[in-house]
Amino acid sequence: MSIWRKVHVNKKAHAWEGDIPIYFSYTVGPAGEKFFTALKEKGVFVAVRCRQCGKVYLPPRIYCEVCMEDVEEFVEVQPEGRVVTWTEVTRDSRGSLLEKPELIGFINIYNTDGGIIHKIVAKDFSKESLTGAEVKAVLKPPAERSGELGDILYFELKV
Amino acid sequence: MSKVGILGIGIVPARALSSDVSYRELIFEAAVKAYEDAGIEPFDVDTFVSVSEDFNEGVSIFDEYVPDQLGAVLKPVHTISGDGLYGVISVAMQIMTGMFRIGVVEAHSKASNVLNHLKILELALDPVYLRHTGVDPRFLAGLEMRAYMEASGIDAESVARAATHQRTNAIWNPLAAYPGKFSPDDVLLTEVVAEPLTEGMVAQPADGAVVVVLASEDVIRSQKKNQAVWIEGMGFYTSEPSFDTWVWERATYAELSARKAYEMAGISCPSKEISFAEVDSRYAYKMLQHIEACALTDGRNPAQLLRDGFFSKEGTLPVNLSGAHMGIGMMEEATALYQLAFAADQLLGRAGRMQLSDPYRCIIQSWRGLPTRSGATCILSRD
Ligand SMILES: [Zn+2]
Repeated sequence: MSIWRKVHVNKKAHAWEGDIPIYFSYTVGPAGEKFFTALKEKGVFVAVRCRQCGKVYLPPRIYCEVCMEDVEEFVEVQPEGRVVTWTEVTRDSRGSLLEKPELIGFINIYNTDGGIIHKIVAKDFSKESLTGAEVKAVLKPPAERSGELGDILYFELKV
Repeated sequence: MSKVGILGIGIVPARALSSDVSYRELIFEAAVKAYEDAGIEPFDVDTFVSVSEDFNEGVSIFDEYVPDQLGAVLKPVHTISGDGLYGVISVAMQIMTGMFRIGVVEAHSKASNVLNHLKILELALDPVYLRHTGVDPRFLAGLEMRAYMEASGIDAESVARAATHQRTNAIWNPLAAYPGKFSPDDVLLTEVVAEPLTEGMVAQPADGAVVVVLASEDVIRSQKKNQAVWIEGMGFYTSEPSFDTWVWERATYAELSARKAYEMAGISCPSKEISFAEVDSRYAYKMLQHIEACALTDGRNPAQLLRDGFFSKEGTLPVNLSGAHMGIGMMEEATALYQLAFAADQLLGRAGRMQLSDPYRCIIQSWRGLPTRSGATCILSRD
């Protein structure tokens, strides 16, 4: 047993072209409903606190990953926080160059142990000071919100 | 419980393109070589595990496309995802039960079949909370790299040096697809992917296949005499799977799995009891982060140690002499098994120009890649 012959001429190497056209509708669940409803209607974030260990999850979940307990103490928090880490990307997910580079950051939301990953708009920022900077979410006008993360346009530096 | 060792390995050299064969033929070639190396027929194998991910294959329920080219028809076979080392650990555990004597692990990559890798990576992101940005999904590597650098005081030039370290080492690995001599500046000047991450710090895709034959001690003793490599320790962990609770600056999964493997192998001081290491390096900064996670630096800065030659062939604790992901190529689940094969050759004195003098024990550490916090480790030793 072995491979006796291989294709050894480029033009004779055939390939079958295929794609995977699959579509989904991902439900957000009870915790997600609370989060996105509050974002849409009140312009705030909803987090959830575990009574057992005190950890505050954002995005909210209905279970604690530390205690494996039900968590149901939902709390509203302002869409503001601190940049934990950030990057600047040059391409989109198809690999095409973006019109201009975009800042993306993980923002720890105040009064929670979690956070949101989103675009940051910062004019004249210095690389040295963006980590740790205070930012707040800029939301779409209430009438244009549809209850998804796109309702947040970006985070901007708090002045 | 039976001790488990390596009976044979078959590898197809990694390469950027493989239009001469199909993915099945790649696996077939590796399997033929492995059974020859092990001195067995596929009929002698009691259990098979393949390691693959449907999206990378472009075929769903991919496990059904594995058995025939491996000689696994009419045999117990299952596919797991994760990483090649998960497959090794899975087969080793089966053999340790005493129910199986010879087991086979297969991992491969036909990355050149994939026309848009970034989209596959994007599909691994949480659909509700992470896919909304629409940007290059390697932004996660940029976020992680910055957090790691700022926490450990490591600069981008040191990360670039980690990349050149591996690509230079790959010059002496005939199985590597991306050998080359570059300077850290060359790496820093490549296109920015997700600042501070540049293209030169990202392992490039390659095609290849590996088949590893594992066996119980009695089988190996009857065939290999005193020329065998043993699995002394194993560990695999997932740490914080959700991005909102990630520990951004540390590779917790690697810390946990290394600790487990050391414990199993009875190792209390890894930096003194390990001869060399092979760690995951899909992105160059991961090499430094994983070295620290495997407790190989005794609290010293890995960037400084790299600059001082500590991890080079002539250094105190050589790391990624195989070339690893940056030098061999990014083959998803398969690269860690190329590293395992290189490590086994080292222990048996068959590593060619990269041969160390009298290595006796090593650690191999793997990561499942973005956006995961999952990884495995194995400790190998020789008689
Ligand atoms: Zn809790």
